Amino acid sequence: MSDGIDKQILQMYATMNFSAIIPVLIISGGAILLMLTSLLKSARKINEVMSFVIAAVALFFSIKEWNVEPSAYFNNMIQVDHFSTMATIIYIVSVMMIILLSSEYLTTRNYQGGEYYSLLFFALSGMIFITSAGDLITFYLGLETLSISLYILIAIDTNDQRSTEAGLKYFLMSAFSSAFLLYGIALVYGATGSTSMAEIKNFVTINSVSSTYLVAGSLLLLAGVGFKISMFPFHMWTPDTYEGAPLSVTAFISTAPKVASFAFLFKFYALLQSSTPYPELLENILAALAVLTMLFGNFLALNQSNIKRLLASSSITHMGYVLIALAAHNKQGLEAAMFYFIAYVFMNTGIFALLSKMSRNNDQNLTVENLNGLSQQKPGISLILMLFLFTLSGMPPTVGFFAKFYIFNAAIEAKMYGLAVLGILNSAISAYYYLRIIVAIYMKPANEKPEMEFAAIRYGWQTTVIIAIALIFVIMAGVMPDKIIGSVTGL
Amino acid sequence: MNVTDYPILSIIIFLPLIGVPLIALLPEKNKTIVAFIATLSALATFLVSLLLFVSFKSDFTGYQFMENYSWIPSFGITYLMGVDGISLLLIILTTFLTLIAIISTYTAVDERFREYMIAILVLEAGMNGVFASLDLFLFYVFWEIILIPMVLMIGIWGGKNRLYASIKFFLYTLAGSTLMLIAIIYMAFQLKLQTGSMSFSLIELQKLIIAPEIQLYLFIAFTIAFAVKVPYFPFHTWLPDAHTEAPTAGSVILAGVLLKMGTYGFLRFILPLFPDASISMAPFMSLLAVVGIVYGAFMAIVQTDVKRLVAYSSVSHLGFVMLGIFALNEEGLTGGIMQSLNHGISTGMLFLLVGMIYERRHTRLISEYGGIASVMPVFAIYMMIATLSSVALPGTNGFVGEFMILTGAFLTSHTLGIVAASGVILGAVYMLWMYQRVFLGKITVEANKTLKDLNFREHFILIPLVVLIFFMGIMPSYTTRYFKNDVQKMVSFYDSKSPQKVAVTETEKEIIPEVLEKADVLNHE
Repeated sequence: MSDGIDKQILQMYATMNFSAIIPVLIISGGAILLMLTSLLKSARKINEVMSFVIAAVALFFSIKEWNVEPSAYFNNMIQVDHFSTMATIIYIVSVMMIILLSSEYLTTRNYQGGEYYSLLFFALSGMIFITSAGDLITFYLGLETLSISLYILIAIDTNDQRSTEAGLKYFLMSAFSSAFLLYGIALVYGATGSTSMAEIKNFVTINSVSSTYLVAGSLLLLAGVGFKISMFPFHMWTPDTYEGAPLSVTAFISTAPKVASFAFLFKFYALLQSSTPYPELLENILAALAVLTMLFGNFLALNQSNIKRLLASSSITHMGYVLIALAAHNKQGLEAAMFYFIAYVFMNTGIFALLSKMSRNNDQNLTVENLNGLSQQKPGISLILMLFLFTLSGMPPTVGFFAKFYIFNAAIEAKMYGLAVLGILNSAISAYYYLRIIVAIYMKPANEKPEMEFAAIRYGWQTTVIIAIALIFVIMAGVMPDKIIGSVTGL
Repeated sequence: MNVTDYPILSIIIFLPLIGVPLIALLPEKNKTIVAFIATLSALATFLVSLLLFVSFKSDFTGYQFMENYSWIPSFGITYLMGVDGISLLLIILTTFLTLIAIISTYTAVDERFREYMIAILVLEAGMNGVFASLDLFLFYVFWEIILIPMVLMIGIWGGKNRLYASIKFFLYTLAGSTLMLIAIIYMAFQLKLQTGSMSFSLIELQKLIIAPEIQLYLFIAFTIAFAVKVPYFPFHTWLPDAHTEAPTAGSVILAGVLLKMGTYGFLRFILPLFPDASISMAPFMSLLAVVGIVYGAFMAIVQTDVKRLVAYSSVSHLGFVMLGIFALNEEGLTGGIMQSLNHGISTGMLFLLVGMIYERRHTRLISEYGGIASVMPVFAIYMMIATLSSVALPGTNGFVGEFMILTGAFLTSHTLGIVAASGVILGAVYMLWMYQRVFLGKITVEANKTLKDLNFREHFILIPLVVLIFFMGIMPSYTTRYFKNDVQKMVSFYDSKSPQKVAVTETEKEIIPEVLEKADVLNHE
């Protein structure tokens, strides 16, 4: 009996084409390998190089899978398609940038361990699993892999109490949200009789979203994932965690993991969209959440003087824009969100890379006032910082503008005019706090007792490379966005 | 050589930017070289724009020097450029005033001179872009780009309250223009539904059929964006702050060109795209314009700061421009366009003059002056000319504009015309009273006794402006013939849409019933 099953399994493996999941295999294997090598002496240096190389290899394989035929693995537990490949590429690129960024930053923070890179890779594999999940269980496993790696990453700077505090906060909140998530999955299972996405889709196509359990389940799922993407009203942890985490980790958690969680939401809500009629309740709730998320992000950021907290709050607003795209529930929305993510990863990594070398003498967090008069001593850095701030606030001709344009396009195509108007008004509000930083840099005189030595701001080659890449991307993709549009329209 | 063989509009837009990297790479100390390169870039741009002017066919209706490249095909966004008479003159005004503004700054700015010149050149590129683009997306991009250098200019080199003024300017203009973006996208989508392909091109969008009530919403969204720039009466509060705090060159460009972007927006986009809404809103818009005229004038009377006074006079003058435009007849429109140009020249000159005396005395308070005419007689003469142009004395350019606007206004409403005419008298009151207090009488302040009269460079800046004031005043037809055809086209377009008619005429209904049905369904959704 058991022999037969073994044979069956063996046969299954033999006929399977694994090429599409090679990247995630490489990443997971790499994560374990990196963990082993962290035992070596000067592990950080070794792991730094190794992780970069492994990520590059994985990137190569995922680009090869660019035009992959949608295929399912392991009894539909994993589904690989163009969308997941694209997301995978975004994650890997993001992680590669973080590896470069960390190299210098960790040196200044005197961190020597090699596990940092191993954890980054575990998080990366978790993200890939989330987006290529074909089953709610796989999704949950991926999300937990990601979250657990993040708890440790946030708290990794054991010399700094704030880091530990941030890690603990994130852990508690995240564990709490996982409960929501599981409950949601359970309800969805109860309503549809399956956790497999394909089955759920079949169920919805036939029966439409009529059952209260299914609606409740999807809302609980939304709440659970909402924690990770700092959606209102689950956004409170964001500023604290961003502030306490080491800057390179902040740069990481503010980009790729949010993309991953969002990617799942898009995938899940796409299932519900096969229902006719699409439940208006969900549409309205998503629209309301989008508006509230943008508003609360803006409120938090308006008077914030701590730059890390400011960026954290503004990232809440950015997620609000993407929620507009989700609420629009059309093809344009998915494309717009993907475009936004690509833009956002570059903008955010770029600005965090710039900030990574700006620190106060007393190791306190950087405030807006600390930057007073920066432009007089560092005109080049100031100009680049200004460009990043303008792209975050969505000024043309940078990519930030086009990304927003894309999202409002989706909302208007879905005839959600009110949502588009509220979104753009929020975008105008957000310009104020970005402008505040620009005012400090360019228009205010230098402080009499500077708490930060501008002359000491020097970037090594790794950080310079990231800043250059991000900057070139932000401008080129803003002036000529067609290449990226072309790659997201296939979704 | 045939000019149309070259992308001359793109050259005018991007030529100023060539100087930017050169200036940026120069060391801070080389002020002379920086000034030289900046002047050269602006001069080259001005010369090319003159070439444009010369090769423009004024007897031709429609857009000339068109350039059309595909830019973002997935959204039907094109790089579409073209000018008609209105935008042609505004481009010339831009390149001309920018050159003058740059020359006027040689001594006015010491701190961060390099960055200042970069800001002016980027600004010039943006302004030319706004006047030349015929694709609404492209237009919006240029429209927003202008904000950045302008905000930095006010905020870095401005007066005491510069931070407040620059943030206010930024937020007002940004918030104002955001809704326009939504309206633009909406129209592009409507076009996709009606014709099958998305486009942001003005020429395509003019074919759009929009129900009057929807037009009203779009009209409001566009109007807020442009009204903030103009500035229309309730949206004007950023202007006195921004003007007063901006450095001289900034004020010249703000008053001379940036405000014209607002009036230009009304002429280029609102009137052709939303005819029904424009007709129904015209009385209200005219009323607001008249309120602006009178309010601006009264505010100007009580100002103690010369620059603030000139700033409020702008509110009043731009009220005239808008009154002319919304008269929607030939006299009014011609006058409005004429007055746009006049205001650029005369107010630009006033700001330059105020800047010159500020450089000598570092105060702009009227009470600090008095009897200046006896120490700076030549300066006083220039000021007299600018003042007279501003109060619309016959023989100066100001007269032509205001006279035609008032004629146009009387044709539509006697009451508004009469009230608006009082603005002319009030204009004379605040300008001449200011002149009397600053230039006539005895010198009361010791420091004023040693003031030096104008130098060669300052003459060099002012003389072309004086020539223009009289040239445009005495022979206005030389200017108006450039946009005569455009105005007539617009007027006949509006004549075909009398207020009683609905959005669509009977003939149009016969031609395109299907499209209409679609549009109806959409508009009801």
